[in-house]
Amino acid sequence: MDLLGGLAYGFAVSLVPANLMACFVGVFVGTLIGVLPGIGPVATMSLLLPVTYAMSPAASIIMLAGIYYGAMYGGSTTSILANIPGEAASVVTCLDGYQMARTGRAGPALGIAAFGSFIAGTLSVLGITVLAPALARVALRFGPPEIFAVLLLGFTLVTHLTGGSKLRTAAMVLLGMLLGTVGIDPISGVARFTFGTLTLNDGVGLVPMIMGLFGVSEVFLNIEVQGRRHLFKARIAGLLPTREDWRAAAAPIGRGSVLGFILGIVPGIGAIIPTFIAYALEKRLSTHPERFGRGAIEGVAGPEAANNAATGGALIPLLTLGVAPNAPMAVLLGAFLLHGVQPGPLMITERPELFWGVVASMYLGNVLLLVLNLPLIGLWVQLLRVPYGILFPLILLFCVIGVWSESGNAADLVVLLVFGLLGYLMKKLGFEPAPLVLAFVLGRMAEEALRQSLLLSRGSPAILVTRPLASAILALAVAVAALPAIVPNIRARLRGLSD
Amino acid sequence: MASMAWRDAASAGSLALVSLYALVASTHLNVGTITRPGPGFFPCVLAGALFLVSLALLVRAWRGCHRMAPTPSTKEGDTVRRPWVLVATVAALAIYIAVFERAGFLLATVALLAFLFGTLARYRWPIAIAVAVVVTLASYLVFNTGLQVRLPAGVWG
Repeated sequence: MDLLGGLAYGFAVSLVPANLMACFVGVFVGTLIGVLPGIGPVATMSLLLPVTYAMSPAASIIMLAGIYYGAMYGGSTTSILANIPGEAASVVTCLDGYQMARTGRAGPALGIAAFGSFIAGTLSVLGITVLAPALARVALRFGPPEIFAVLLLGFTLVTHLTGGSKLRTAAMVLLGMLLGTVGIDPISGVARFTFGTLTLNDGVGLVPMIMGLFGVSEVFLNIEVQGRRHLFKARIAGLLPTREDWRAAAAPIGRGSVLGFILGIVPGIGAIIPTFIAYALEKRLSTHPERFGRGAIEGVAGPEAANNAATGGALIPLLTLGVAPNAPMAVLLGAFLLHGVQPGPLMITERPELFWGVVASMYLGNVLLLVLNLPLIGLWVQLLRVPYGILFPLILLFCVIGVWSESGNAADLVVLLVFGLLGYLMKKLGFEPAPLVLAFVLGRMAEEALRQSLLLSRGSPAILVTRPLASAILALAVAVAALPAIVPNIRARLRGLSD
Repeated sequence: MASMAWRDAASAGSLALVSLYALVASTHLNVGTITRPGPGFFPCVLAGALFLVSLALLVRAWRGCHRMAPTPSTKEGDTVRRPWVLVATVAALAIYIAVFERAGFLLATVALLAFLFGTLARYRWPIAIAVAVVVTLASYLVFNTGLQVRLPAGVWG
């Protein structure tokens, strides 16, 4: 099937009423939880995972993907109006978005965030349409050694590119991988770290772990602190940016889109890091960098485009390699597996309705988001006025129902509470939960890939370096790991030369 | 900063203990060799690496040279710390989970929500109970009746 034929087929699939409805529900719920601080896309996707049992695989993936990119739209609204990131990838938008709102330009800030998100989202889907089939052909040459090398590169990037201390991130990656080994070993059938319980035979549940780490822990952190939110109160008018706004924001949107899409493809980066890089880039390129932090529209347009484009990029490794590059994609991978579909290079030819259906639904989803968001700004503002005292018991209740509906096992509710407390402690002590979840999912795959590689080579680890593709990826991983040690030396030498 | 170093040391120490336990437990499984890894091989390597990283964190905390990376603040404005609210919520949630199957979804959830709305969110009791009943019934209808999630019936089973 050629590109246009595939896309036409995809639109036929995504325009089926059930799938269109799934897309609408996904982007609407995504925007809703994006607006609400304290519950993010990962927890929501996990919460709705059991609901998808009754849906077709295509409708399920269309809805869950919609939640992810819908949340990126919603997050900016809270950042601009309340100076609180509604969603972690919208932290940077607070800097200039809220300042624009304070100076009476909330409308253009919200408008450019929505239009920028739409343009970036659409460009990134265009990127998937063109790149994914080509990459899937390359991925057909991937065996267990290459998969292991890609995963190792992912772990290295997670450790080096996540903000904060590298040692702490490394500890979380290792702990996540160690948690991934709990349960029956898939190759030998031996029970590992199950403490004699049946619940742990299948391993630690991904849904209770994610809902605990991202949902319950966030509630624990928020209720402990009684704070006053400074919600922007003036009437919001003029959502359409002016010609001058467009002139200032067009290039940042373009740059943010390309940057976000490319970084989104790389395992371990996610949607947050591209926003910081896009902001820094716009500030550096600006002729008036002093305006940044005081309400520069470029500071809203670039990062908002970057986080939306990254969501599209992140789908590429999942759809072509079956490798989840970040925590939300790990949930999406779980959804594919729940429906008996193994994403990977063969999916485009074996399940074209799924691949092209999801891609086409993202074009529709982005249009829906733009059409929905601007008229619904008033509703989101009202939603932000709902006191946290009402919201937090509801979030806890939905977490409990979500976990119960997935397994029907009360022991998983204990796992939920344990990971809720663990997540709370981790955030208090400066440890990030996202690398732990990512390593938990990818760790199992890495172990299987490594052991399968050794079986293939009859026990020779040389297989990892003798196959050209695997050795090239491994070399890249080593280079990334060595970079922080090398760069200061190079800088020092250059400084020495210039002195 | 001393308390921060102490907290860093405690977290690194906990990680070291967990990794040490996993290291010992994995050696009871068949570790195998690098060319023929057994079920204990991967956990053993990971636990060993985690132990080394924990030691490095411990040393750093000991030296007190580590400063916590500033995390973006999600709170704005004046804040008051209320640790008792957290303790009460965790305790309520633990009791709720313990009785969830026996008491059933409806009874347990009304009790939990009424407690959270009444005590922690400080709504008047009649309002807290009324909201708890409405929310519980609505979520029961949506999930149990609408989405076919089999929530435990408990005492009404």
